[in-house]
Amino acid sequence: MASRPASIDEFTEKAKELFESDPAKVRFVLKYKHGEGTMTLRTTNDEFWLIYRTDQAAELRRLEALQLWLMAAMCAVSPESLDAPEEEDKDHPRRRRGKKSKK
Amino acid sequence: MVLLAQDSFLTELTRLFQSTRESGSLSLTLKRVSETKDETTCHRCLVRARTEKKKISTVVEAANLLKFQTSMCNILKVHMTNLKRKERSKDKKPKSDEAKA
Repeated sequence: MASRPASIDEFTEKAKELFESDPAKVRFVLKYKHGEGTMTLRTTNDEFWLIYRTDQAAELRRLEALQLWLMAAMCAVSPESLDAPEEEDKDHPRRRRGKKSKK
Repeated sequence: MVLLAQDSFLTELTRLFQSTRESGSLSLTLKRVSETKDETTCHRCLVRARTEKKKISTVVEAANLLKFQTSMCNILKVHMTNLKRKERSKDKKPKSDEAKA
């Protein structure tokens, strides 16, 4: 079964839910076609598919945030403890990174 | 499937992006890998990249997650340049808006 969320926010939300419901099986796939100028984001546990296709460059930023969240969740690090690195750089560069690396 | 160290993976990823500039596509997959050793389960993240001709992969653990993710994002930003920029006439700085959102 497949679902195609209308916005990247909706996709992000559902992708996180799907991962949490089945962390061992869920994978996230980003497919980029330079020739077409499109990227397709998919999240699946092999039973249910979430598919979102876009050509908007602005959504790369959302994609990064989602990737970071998912990678953290996959490594069993609390995703909320990792903010976007860009925001951290201003005031406390690398501070949280140091904390994480000790684990 | 070639399992690479993280640095070599990122270098290869750049090459894969370059090889798909004319035609073809690149897929990047994230998946959890779990190992149980001495009753402790260790979770890591498998990152795979593939084009029609080549497949590479690497495993990222919590300790170097941020570093890897930052480098990978930079590569994505540099190479995924054929997406459409938002055009808003009344808003001259869409980028700073995005950062706040």
